[in-house]
Amino acid sequence: MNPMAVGACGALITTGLVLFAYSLLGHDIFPTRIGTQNRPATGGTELVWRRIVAALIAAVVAYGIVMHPLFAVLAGISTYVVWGQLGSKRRTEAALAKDNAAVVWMETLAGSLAHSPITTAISAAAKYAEPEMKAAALRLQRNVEQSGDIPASMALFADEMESRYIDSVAAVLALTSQYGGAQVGELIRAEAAAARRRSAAIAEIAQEQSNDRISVRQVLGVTIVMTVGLRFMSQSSLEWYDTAAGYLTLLVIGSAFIGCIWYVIDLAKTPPPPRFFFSDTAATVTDKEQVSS
Amino acid sequence: MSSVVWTLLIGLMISSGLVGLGWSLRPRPPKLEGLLSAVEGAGESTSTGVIRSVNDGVDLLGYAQDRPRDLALLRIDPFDHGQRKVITALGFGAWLFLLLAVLTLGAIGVPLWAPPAAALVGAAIGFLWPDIRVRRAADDAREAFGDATGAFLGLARTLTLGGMEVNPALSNAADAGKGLGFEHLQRACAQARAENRQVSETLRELGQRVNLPVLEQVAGVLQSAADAGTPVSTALATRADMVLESLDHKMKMTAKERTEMMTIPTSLLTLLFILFIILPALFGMTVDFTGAGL
Repeated sequence: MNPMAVGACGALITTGLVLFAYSLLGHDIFPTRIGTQNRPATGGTELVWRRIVAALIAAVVAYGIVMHPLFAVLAGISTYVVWGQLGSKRRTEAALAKDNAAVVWMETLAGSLAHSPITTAISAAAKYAEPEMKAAALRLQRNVEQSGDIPASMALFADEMESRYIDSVAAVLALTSQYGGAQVGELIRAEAAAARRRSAAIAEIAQEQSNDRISVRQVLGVTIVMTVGLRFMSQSSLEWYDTAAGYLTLLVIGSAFIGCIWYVIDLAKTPPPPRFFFSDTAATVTDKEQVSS
Repeated sequence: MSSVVWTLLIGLMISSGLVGLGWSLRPRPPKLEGLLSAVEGAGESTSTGVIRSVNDGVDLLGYAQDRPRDLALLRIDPFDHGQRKVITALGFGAWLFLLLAVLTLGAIGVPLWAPPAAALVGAAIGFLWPDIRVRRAADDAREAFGDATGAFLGLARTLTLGGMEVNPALSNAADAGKGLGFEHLQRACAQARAENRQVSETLRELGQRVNLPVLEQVAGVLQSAADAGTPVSTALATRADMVLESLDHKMKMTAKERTEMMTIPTSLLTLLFILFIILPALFGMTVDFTGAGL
């Protein structure tokens, strides 16, 4: 076959592979409108970079110890998949503390709204807010006092808190400040109750999932320890992985291993309810993402 | 057929697939007529004859009977969707054809019939893949829409309690939110204003168009409250609580189901670890017995 044709074929196959890899990494090759809806821009870029750096370090260390390129690649990919994704007790507790702080803020606000105007109620809620959201509540109070624009201030606050329940409270306060309303406190209390129920459910789910998370960590740890141990104490037992059959087997086992870890992580995720009240800045970012994707 | 002709044919298929793919992915604003036809429930009226014929064939299998409603919910231009199906089919089929053709030409035992057969299978998968994605996205969107409906009703209730009429209260509540669900609600309210009808009527039509029973129930509640002369705010509050509780319950059920499923990959991980340790020993012993390892 003509070398040029082979080269062209190779280039096209690579393009196909890149597109598949792109798709597998979660990018939207065929974007639909829903993919960019209900999702104001959030952080996360920093974590991705950390994961990439951790994966590179893990790959280099693995190669340095085992001296096997496929081991190194699999170690790097596994690290990227696992890093910061398996969840931890500390993180769950921090998230729950933030949710509880939001509930306390909502209840204080609802209580104050019974006998005070919105601006006073916001100030009172900020004064008694829990440490997890004290700064955000004080910023909201300052924005409202300085600008007097309650809808815009509430939208900024909702962006900062990134919670559907806070969205609901922010939306009702924004609407009430524009058109008037009654029994706002009742609606806020209902939202606070819903947020409390969800927090309790998430705590329960996290507890139920903890055994599986521990099992995954144990298997990962034992695999690393055994591999390093075999490398230094019984080098011959890993030599088979240097043969062609060994490479193929390691590729299959390693891919399945990574696939299982990824699946566990995916199953453990409980996506938050979609947001519906956010500032125009956040919406603009969303629209830009939609066009550029 | 000479390898030159083969190469030309393969190159033509692949390049047309890739060019079409690139063209489909170009940044562009949504087509107004497509959106309107989707919102008005025109289904696939703008699809080309060939695409519609193939889609009808697939529909005979009962696979895609909800697709027009899914597309209307996601506000995807039906023509764009049809185009994506063709391009994915072409691209995926051509890619598999090329892969198998290279292996065939490499004389490593791949039979001549394999490339076209693989291309056909790939094209079929590529043709159905966008539908599967749309269905998944529509399921997620319906759940999000249900949540948005709960929030919408809560906001509308507060405004009605403040003394606002039902229709303006519903319109203002819809205008307060952003996202796909609220965009649909805004359109329904705007349609009611433009046609001088009750919002409950356009909400019912929207619910039917996008297959969201919650909206139809809300419309029924609003209508019956208006007919009976009872306060709408009470009906709205009850319905909002029901929607939120139902979503809460669904979230818990899904999370429990997923937690139970976690045991499968966790057990597999242990099995894979054992295989990783045992296999070299097993194969190493075999090599030693045959003398190859000596």
